[in-house]
Amino acid sequence: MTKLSFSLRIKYLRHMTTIKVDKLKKYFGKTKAVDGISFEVKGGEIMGFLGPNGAGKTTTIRCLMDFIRPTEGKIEILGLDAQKNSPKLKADIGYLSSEVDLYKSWTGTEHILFMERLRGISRFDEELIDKLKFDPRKKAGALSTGNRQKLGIILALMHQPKLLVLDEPTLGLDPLLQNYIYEILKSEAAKGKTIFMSSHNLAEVEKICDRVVILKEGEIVATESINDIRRKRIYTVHAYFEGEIPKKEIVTDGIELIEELSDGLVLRIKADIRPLLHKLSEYNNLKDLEVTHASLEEVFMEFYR
Amino acid sequence: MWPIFTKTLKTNRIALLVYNAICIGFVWFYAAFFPSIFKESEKLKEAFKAYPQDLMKAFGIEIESFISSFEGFMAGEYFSMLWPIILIVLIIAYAGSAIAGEIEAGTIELLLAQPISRLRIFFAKYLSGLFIITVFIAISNSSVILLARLYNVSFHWEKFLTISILGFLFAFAVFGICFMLSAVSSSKGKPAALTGGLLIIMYALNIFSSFQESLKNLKYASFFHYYDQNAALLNNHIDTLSIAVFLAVGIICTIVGAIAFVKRDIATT
Repeated sequence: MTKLSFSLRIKYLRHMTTIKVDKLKKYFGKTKAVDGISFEVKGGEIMGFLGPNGAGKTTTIRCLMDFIRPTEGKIEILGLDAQKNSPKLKADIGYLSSEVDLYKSWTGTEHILFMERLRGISRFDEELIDKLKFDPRKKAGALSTGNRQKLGIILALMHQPKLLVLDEPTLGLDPLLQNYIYEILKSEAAKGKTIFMSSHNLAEVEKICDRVVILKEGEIVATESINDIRRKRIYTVHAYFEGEIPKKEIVTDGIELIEELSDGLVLRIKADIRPLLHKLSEYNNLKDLEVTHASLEEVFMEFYR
Repeated sequence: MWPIFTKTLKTNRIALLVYNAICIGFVWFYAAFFPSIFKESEKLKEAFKAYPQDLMKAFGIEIESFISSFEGFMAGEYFSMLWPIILIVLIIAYAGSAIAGEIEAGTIELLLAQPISRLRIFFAKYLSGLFIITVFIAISNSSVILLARLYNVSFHWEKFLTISILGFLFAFAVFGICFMLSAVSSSKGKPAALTGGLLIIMYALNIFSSFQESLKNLKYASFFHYYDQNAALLNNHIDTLSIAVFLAVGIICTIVGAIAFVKRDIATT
């Protein structure tokens, strides 16, 4: 494939919707796990699915994979109903769970051969085993968490899927292996694959995702691109005063008091900072001022409040 | 589907060998022991007269044929309790963990993430189980014939074929129940415990029904009433009702289990 046709293919993929979730609800008895969420994942993008424990991330992923069935709503993958066409779609989906459970008495090779036979194809690239420095001769029961995850990645990628569905793929892994997995995912996305991954690791999401869906208590609180989140205007202001601190005059609508110091105030503002700076400049006893742009973690925390 | 079938057989081959070895061990003992029983049959007949006849009947021992024919001896000694128990243990060990065990271990996601329908997964494991049961019955009962020949014991091979068929039908029903429970459970202990408990109750019902006239109809609720090893081994006969009951239970449970597995939520943690 030429460079031009490859980039055209990527552009074409980006216009396609790989995953479409429409008003998905999942209740376990009376317990609400997911409550009417809707989102789309475009072809070729890396979409992060972010939320604290119990937000509904794994439930949503299990619905995508047809492990569990929605109470209401619809899921389409690659244009097909995810439930009705589940076996057909799985040929194009690579799945990685947060905890990779394997047949303990089998070696890595036996797992790989079994999956090849189940899929009826042999597109396995042995280069992946070398890249991950994985020994496929060891029995799964003897593998460490990291090596089990490596085998999980091999099994997810071995059939060259169009879509990767990953549930906290770097959970419990050392930073070195985490970074290696990020490289693999970016390289797969560069080939035009769509990646949908859940995480509660903010740094990880910022590092590799194009867009992020933020989930809280079973509901979507935001769907943003990473760049837009970075550009969000959230500031932390440390204002130090000599003598009396004009708290009542400063802490007004739109300005949140985070902490009251012995000689100042710590404020948060989620808007244009210039009016606050102008107001503070009017106080002759203002002795020091420190303004910091909110970190990505602080931006995300705003969604969780 | 066939990779799952062959994988399941490979995983269970050691267990199958062990169960067959146990049966062959017992059969060897009985085949070696029977000639001396046969020699003393008159003395033993007198001794057995002192036993409560109803109790003997309740436990499936026909005294006359027990001591005068190899079929009768094996019907009372081996096929009345020992062989069915080993068969039940094999069935419960396999069926209980076939689906529920994979869900409990989390490995079911490896299968569900593949381009294979749940129905195919169900029947791959189901057919593997039936195959294992068939192989067990074939080997364990063939050993009876071979060992009887070894000790020059007189027997009718077709009667051992009949008990094999009856045993398969019994196993088909028990397997159907346990596999259905496995398909709806998320841990292997539940289907094993429920099936085992059900069979114990059925066995008790069958025993109690023979002691009291008012309880005689309880036997119809027991598989052990329809598993008539004496009729199979002494008369070379399987009652039509037994065939119907075992087949009906097996087929209905299989269908219910398949539907339940296809429709259920499967969450591993």
